[in-house]
Amino acid sequence: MRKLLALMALAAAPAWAQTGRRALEAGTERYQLADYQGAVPLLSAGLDPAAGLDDLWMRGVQRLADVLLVLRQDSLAATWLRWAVRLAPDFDVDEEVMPPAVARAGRAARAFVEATPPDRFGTVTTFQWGAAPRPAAEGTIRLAPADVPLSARIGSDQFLRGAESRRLPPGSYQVVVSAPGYLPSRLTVEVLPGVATIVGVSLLPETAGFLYVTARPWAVLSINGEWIGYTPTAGHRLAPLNHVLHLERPTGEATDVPIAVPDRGHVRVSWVTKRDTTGDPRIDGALAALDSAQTERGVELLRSLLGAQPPLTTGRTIALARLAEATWSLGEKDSARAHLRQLVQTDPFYLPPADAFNPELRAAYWAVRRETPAVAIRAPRDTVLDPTSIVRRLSQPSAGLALPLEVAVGQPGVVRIFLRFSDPRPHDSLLTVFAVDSVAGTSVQLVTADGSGLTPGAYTLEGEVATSGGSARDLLQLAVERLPVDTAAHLPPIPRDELEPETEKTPPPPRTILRSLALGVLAMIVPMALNDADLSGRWIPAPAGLIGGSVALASIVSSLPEAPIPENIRANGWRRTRWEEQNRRIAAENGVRLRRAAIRIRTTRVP
Amino acid sequence: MTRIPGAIRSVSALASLLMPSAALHAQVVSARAVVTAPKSSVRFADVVERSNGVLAGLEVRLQAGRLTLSGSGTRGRLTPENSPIARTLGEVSLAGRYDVLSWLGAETRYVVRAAKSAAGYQRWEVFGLGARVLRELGGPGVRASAGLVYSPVAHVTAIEDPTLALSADVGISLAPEAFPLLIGLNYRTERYRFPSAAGRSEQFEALTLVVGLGVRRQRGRWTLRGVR
Repeated sequence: MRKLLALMALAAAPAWAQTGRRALEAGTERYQLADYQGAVPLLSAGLDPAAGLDDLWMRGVQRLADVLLVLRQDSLAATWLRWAVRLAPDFDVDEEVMPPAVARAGRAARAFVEATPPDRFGTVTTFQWGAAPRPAAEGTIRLAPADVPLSARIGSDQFLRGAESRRLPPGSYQVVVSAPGYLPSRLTVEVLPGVATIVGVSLLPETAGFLYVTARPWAVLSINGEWIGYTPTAGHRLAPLNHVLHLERPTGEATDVPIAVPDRGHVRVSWVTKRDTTGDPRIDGALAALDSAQTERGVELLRSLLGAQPPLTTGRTIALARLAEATWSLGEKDSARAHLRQLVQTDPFYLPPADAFNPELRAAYWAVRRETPAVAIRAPRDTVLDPTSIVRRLSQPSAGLALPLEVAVGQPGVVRIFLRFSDPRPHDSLLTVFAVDSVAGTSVQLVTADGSGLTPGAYTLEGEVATSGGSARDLLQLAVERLPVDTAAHLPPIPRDELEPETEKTPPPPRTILRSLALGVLAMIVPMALNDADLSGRWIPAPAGLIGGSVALASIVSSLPEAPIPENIRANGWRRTRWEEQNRRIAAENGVRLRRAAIRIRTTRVP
Repeated sequence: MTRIPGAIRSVSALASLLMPSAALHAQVVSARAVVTAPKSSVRFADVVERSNGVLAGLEVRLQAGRLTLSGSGTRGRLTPENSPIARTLGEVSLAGRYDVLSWLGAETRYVVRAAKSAAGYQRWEVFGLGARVLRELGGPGVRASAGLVYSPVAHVTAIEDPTLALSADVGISLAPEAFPLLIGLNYRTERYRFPSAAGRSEQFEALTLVVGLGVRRQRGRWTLRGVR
């Protein structure tokens, strides 16, 4: 509709439009010379849309707003910006060129316009530029004549009949046009100084029906040859007559659907060749309702599912995307943006397929995405990394392993990837830092803080993004395990009996013999001390002699001095040294094999 | 020389005092087969009667740190040299030792010995206190020991209680650290003097062979290790 307005404005280009364009150029020169007082009338005169809504026009609006803000005419600047946004939906303040105050005013103007949409039927607004519009002058609003007795209420206290006009101070005015037996039509118009704003209205009868159209992939909807907008369309009012809908997809595929709209009836048209399925029957049921053009019911179902506890895990992304699309078609733009924001936060990797979001919704999605701090990291769920191939690829010894990662952000920003360790103490190791605009692929070397390779265990990979709008982070759990590798067994210790004896016993010295004998005798004396020879029948009990002799013998044997055998010691030392060398070599080879062993990494998302 | 229950209470009290500190250390539990060759010599009215025989039984020993508690029971026959009337002999003993030093231990012992024959039944109950000297002889767990026990409490049924009861023993044992086995040889002499009016004197000797198997509990785990 807005493009239609623009086209109509262009079609009515008067001859003096060329003069207006020259005024715009002249106003730009004054602006650049900081002659603000002189720039205002020239820029105002040059903004006649009849000359075209080109780049020069858009810069002219921004410059006029800048000048008016400098001259402390904030209200007038806001009116011009609202008018521009309403006339050219693509209009946007260039924040890199214009001062922040203009950028703020531009955002406020867009918010105002989006909050005050016109009823989507039967209104056409055109503008008649005065020969020389004066900045301080009043503007004019005129109600175009019609076949029915129209009346319009402007604001709260101004009334007009068809073909009447009224001079009003510049500003935004709500206009309600009505006629007996017809549906009233509401719209908001901007009255500009020295400019006539002509409101043309074609009212619908009170018995008008409602049209719901769903197409997947999306299509452009025309009714009776008149361009209506993009699908999905919900609650579009139509006169209770026969109509022909024309739907055309961007691929050129088209279809014509004749419909008969009953009095106050609902007509639902579905042209769906590609259905979304999630595997969750509740979500699929809601999506089926949307596909059959039962928009309100589908929205209600999705809202209850998304608000339920526990939160949806599968299909949440598609549910949010379709809910945003449906609420957008119902005209609930703020709700739609909130759902888009949730969508970005839920899954920054989600990029709407070309055939899913129509151009308006796609633009809204990207605008929301670029304002929403969100980050998500993704790695293969189960992968095996072979360090030997990495060494070959990088042509350098690598202690770590390169894990492929995908990173997605909402608002563009600098992403930091950390590896969290819990052993021997909790700490983070910064792996990489890089700027991400939307979705980027990278690989991170999985190494510890000191640069050594990652040992098997459980780790957490953290992605963090800090943007002007805030920060966000995402966690991935990594389970690292080393795949089995053949290692050589260590040589067993040399059996004792295979070694040569290193010492030999030598005869005991007399002193040892004497001491041992004394010990034996002492052992014998103890029981002998109690022995009554008359009673036992013996002076020396034989068992006492046995014990005493055993003690003496054991003492002598255990005290035998040992003399080293140098040649045996040397031979055994050589064998032991060889054994140790062989085991060291085996240990070193095993170490290399273990370092080159493939690593299996399984990732799970941390909820 | 009576009051046996009081003596048992003393042993129990000493054991309960020493047990808590011992529980902190490694514990060894061993079971030992005991074969004893006893010789009993009795003089009564200038007549000496000597008997020999064989006893067999079992000994259980708990060693915890410096404290060692043991209980044993043996049973066998004792045959007089000059008489065909054999006696059935049984002996039960409870003993406790606390190693004051690595080579010196204080010891207490309670022994009940009963003999039964066609001539009648005789029961000995002896409680003694003594000391034991230990000496490592080097080598794979070779140890010699000698002990002297004085028995202030001794009671014999049917006859007067002895006025003096002494016991001395000497032994040698082999208990390699790496194996749970223990082999030991011990010779014990007990001497009892009775009031002169009774004209009685007794000597009891026993050569004992011990073969044991033990388990060691250290840091909460039981292993088959050296018994000592």
